[in-house]
Amino acid sequence: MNDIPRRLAKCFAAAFPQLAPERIPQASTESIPQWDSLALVVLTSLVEEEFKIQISPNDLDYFVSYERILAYLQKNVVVP
Amino acid sequence: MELEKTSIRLHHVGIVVPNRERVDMLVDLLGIPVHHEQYVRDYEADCIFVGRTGTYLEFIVPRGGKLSEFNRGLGGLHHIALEVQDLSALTRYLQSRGIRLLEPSSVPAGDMRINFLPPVYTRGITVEFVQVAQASGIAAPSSAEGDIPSRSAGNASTRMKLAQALAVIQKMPPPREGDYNIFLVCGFMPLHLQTFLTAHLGLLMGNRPIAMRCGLYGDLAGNLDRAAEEKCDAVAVALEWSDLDPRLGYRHAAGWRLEQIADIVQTATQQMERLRIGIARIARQKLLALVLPSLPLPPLFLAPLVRGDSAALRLEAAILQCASALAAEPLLRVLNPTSLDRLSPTGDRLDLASELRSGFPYTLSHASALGQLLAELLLPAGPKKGIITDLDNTLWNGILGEDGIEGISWDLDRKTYGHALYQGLLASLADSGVLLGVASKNDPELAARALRREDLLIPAEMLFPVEVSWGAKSEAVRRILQAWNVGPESVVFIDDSPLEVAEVAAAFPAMDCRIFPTDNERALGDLLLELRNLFGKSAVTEEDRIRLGSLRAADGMAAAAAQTTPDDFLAGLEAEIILQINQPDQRAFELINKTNQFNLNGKRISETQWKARCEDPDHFLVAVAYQNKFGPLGTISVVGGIRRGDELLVDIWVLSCRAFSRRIEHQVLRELFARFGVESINLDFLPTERNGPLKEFLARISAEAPHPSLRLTKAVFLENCPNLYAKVSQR
Repeated sequence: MNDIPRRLAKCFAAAFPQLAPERIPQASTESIPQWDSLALVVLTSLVEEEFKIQISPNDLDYFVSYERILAYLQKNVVVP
Repeated sequence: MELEKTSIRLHHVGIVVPNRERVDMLVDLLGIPVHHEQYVRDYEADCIFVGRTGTYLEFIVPRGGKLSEFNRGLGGLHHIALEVQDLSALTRYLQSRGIRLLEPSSVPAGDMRINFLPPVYTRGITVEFVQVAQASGIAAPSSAEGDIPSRSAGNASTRMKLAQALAVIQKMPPPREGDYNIFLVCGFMPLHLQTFLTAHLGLLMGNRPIAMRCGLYGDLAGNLDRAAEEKCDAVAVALEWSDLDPRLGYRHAAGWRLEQIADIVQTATQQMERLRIGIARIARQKLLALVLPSLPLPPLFLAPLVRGDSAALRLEAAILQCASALAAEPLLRVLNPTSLDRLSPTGDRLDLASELRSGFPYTLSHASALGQLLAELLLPAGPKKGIITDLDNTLWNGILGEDGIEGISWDLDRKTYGHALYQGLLASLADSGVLLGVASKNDPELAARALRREDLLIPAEMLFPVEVSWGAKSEAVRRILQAWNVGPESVVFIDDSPLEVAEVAAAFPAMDCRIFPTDNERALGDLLLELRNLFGKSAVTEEDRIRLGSLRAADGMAAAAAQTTPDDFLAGLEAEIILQINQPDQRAFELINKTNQFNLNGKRISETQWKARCEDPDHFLVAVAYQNKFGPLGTISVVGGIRRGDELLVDIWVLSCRAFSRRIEHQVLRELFARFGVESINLDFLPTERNGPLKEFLARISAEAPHPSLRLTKAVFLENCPNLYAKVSQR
């Protein structure tokens, strides 16, 4: 069972409480004005906490949209 | 080998559910939050724990393997799980009884280790044994929707997650004027520390909004100045080594040359002294919580890690010296590093990636621990007031009725010294004003003689009341609460019998009921520490010293009152009321914040507000102490407000319930009229859930239904005031 999308959506909901759940899959730095550098730190920490991973600074380039982050996690998170 | 029967409790009930959708449906239907989820590789199943605290339902969703065939794939009740403290010990115990558990060794499952008692031993019921990781640095898994840890003495498994903290904050109403304002002072980016501190403060204040401000990055000294100038209720200061000298941080690696160490130590020591002055300046005006540097020093010192480096030790000594000086400030609370160690292991504190990426040096778990402890420092739970203890196998080892007075023991020779430690702690707590009562099923005369044994470490006169009978424990506890005049939430009940503890807990759900751990020194050590924590206070007051005497006096007074008329009784009391005008003390502050029944409006004030009020020359404050021929009650009433022309505006008035029925409230009003020379008193009354006694008094004395801004004229007061007998003096 791959529940990465559900868990990632949970992180987005915590970082961007004003974002409607149905809009999360389309979320990006361009569509969410609140997605600034501070929000990125919070979102990154939430993802690290949820998936128990350490994100390298180089990988933060992926953190510009829900879709890109999901792709990153699908590639880097081991699903038991 | 003995099984520790008292340490076993129901942990969860496991139910196999064919798919996740069914779990979501059940969770939604039952309205129970998901506590945490985990995948257990050995059983090829997702395990979803739901419930709030203590006992859970576990929904097991197989991904394959044997469990997917359970009950022909339909699922259903699978097992009950019992929590034990030591699974290895239990396994050995069962083996000694010829019983083998299902797995050859326990299986890891999230923060637990588990094993199963095969159904053959239990007539078809599968029993799972669970050992939960405690202060081992293993965090309990949980989710954003899960339980939020509450105030606790703290272990690593109770930490709040970032997602939980954000969820708490999102539920808070937006801050408004007059809400709790706090300034967080740190030199690093406040980020998650601010989040965790806000969330924990919000929880402790019942989700009241918190307005938190922070200063500028890298400018701790400047931020202290800003906090001093800000109007706020409290200040939290999180010091780090880099605040003393940037070379002690990770962003100035160029300063790590050996020849600079002496200069670093000198600069840091001088800076600490400057910061001490700044911190002390704030703490003279505002409540301040201080965290000493909690990160490990960077690797710039010469010695190998196993050895204390001389320069590093000098730095740590300088910090501790400053902290000990600061801890003497009444409004300053220094975080106990030992408490932090219990909650956040030293090796898990630094997040170098985060420090370099965003200037926030803490791991989430460390930030969570700091936020929790800072919040508890700023909003401490009031200490509990009393302990009700059992006698047999609790205060002493042995059964009085079977072993006799000389057969009971608390000594090293008979390996019963744990009871001596318990007695010693109770005596120490009694010295600090904690009430000690006894509830025992025993022969009263025999118990009285046993309590007079000269080698008892707790003098018998420290125990009041002593309720010894063959009746229900809860009834004995009820009588003790009445004699103490305190609520069950202020009391800890301790008994070696789980049955008695359960009976009292059922009768008084708000009471902290604990099993005395016989034959388990480690658990006893934990209990003693927890008791010290529950009754911890910063100083012993005069009220603490006279509390027990007052209660005994009240007991004698009640007996005397029953034999005469109220007026004759009061006239014969030889009572004296002592007024202390505009000399505020800590007791007055505490009385305002804990009195409910005779409280003008239920408003609480922070220490910072209290300090400001005491220093305002327009405000008056009268503390009232009382004594009579039965003994002193200490300070039992506080009244405060301001004067406007020939009227007093009173917005604070509390009277301890210990002092009811002595007409002290009437005498307070009479003295206000007389000493301030006013014709009326305007009372800022607000009804609360519990201030019925005050409301009734106001109705009688003013001859009208109490309402906000109730104006009581001198004429009306004198018309309705009964005879007063106490002598009044001013200290």
